[in-house]
Amino acid sequence: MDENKIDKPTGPAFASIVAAALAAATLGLLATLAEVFDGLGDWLAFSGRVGMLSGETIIAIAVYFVSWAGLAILWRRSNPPLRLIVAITAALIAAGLLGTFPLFFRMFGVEE
Amino acid sequence: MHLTYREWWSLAHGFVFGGGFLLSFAGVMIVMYGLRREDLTERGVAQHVLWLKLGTAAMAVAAWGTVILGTWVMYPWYRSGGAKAALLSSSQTSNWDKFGMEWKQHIAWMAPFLATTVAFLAVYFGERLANDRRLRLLTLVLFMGAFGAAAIAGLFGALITKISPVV
Repeated sequence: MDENKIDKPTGPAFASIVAAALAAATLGLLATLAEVFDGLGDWLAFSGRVGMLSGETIIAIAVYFVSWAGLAILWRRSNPPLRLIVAITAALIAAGLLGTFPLFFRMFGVEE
Repeated sequence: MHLTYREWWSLAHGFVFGGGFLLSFAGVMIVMYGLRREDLTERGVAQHVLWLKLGTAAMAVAAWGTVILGTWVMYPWYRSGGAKAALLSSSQTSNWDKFGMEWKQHIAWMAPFLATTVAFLAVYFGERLANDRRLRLLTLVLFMGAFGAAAIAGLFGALITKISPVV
């Protein structure tokens, strides 16, 4: 190994991790809110054939790429603490898993 | 053997892209797990990193292909073609839609986000993953998360298709 070699900053890579977790949390939030509020569910039906899943996923994709780009610019020269990144990522993914779990959003009185 | 137009799309969704993603997991996992500087020669590290980049990139493409076809091609047919109605027509099978499909269609989307991030980490860090145990472990956990999401979606997809196929 070249001892003089300087590692690239971890910021852009960690930005991708947090962005993926944000997208997962967005899916969870929208899936739950769309079931609870009919109006939001209707609005999220960007495609009539696909239904509200179309809006949920398009918004989650947008959140993923936009937040990745934004955080990568913000952290392009920095090394955010790994523990903090792991904690944020774990919390967001847990929120995403909870929000997309049908038994969870049914707790809010959703009727099919 | 005759497949209908929809069954060909179903094959591309579940077998080519989805199956490809799930079947690739073990190989890429072994490459990622074995990427340790102390266990490999310089050439071995370079080869592992190359395979890791190619494998994770291919899996990210497969994950995107699976969810895009699943959401925009298969799911509308499931909703309108009678498969959903057939499940909901009986209390014995309605939970396959109300729980199984609801969970599957959402959790599946976590796979491409996580798989794309894993591929980016492999490309961005490259050989540094062989030196830094914490970064390697983080990448490994995210990779397992992508697989877990895809596996749940794939399992429910296979079972729902078995009970009420999109034809």
